Amino acid sequence: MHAEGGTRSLAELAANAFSDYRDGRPEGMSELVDSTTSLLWHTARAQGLSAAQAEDVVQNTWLSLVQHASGITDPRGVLKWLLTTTRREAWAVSKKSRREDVREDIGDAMPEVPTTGDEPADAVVRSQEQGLLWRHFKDLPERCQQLLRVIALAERPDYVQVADALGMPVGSIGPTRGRCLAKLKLALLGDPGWATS
Amino acid sequence: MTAEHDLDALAAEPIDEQDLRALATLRSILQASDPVPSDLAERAKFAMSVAALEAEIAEITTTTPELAGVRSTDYDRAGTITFSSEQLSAMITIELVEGTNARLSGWVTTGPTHIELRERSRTQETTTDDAGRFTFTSVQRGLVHLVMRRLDDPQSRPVITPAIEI
Repeated sequence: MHAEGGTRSLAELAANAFSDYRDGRPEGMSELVDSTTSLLWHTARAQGLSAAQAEDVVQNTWLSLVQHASGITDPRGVLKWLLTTTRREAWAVSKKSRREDVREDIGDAMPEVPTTGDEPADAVVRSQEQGLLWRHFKDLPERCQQLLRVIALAERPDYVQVADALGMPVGSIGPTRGRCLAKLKLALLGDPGWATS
Repeated sequence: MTAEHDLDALAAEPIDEQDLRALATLRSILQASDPVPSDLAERAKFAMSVAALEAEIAEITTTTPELAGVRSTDYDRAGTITFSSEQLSAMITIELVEGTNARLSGWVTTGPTHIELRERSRTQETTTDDAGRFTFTSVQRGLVHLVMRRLDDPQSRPVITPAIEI
């Protein structure tokens, strides 16, 4: 159940749950939904969908899995299948409603981030770090933002599969940094605030 | 070296602690500003069950006051819920046994009926007795569904209840 290095791979978890489901344990599907819905949500949102559109897309992905479950020959491919289906559907919805105001609650501005922790100073430092990161992140090309938004929510062993499912070329991210993360790093290295925050 | 070369060189390096810090910061921003709707997974699961079973959805017709907050997080709930669908009506009573378990008993209006109780991590099955009654003596707390199949009419669609929080 665990990937090397002790970090749990979602791809592996998903594969086990999906195998269980296909072996006649309906609870397997429930585990699969619980473990991966968050990543699917952020995949849909990264394509610029509104919350309502993203919900529909994620639900349709799951319904589509029920219909196509027998067509997925290798359970290890189920995470990639879910991500790819979500991304394609989200892209189609986004294309249809482009130029409409769909970015209702995630725009170019720094989102409202509730501060946590009891120490006010700590909370301030924390939001400075977030504000700085967000500013450089929003300067990245659209495709890089889409990739990194989903990567940020994924676990490290899943980076390659996530990038692949998002239609990014091999080497986008994984054992190596890839160009998107390299661009972000260059920007952050050039910002003295990042080193000290 | 040009900036393009710098970028290529950086891109070919392994991910380091600073990259992970940047991703963790991005993650904290996204989780706080764009949380996953809390009931999205549950709704998806229900839609999938309905689709997979080609089931008819029963509606909750009444609940006793104790269960009025069916989806709330109150403790020590117990009570009675009635459901109805085109094919059948059902009534269930939930009694909490200990802190973590409940007893679920019920009654359906049809003839012999196969009852499936879908809990979070397991499924239990039983069949109604001659009087249409059924009991599950040990039910996990959490969201559950009942799937009812009429044994006297195998061609009929299964009936599924909405999620009930126990």
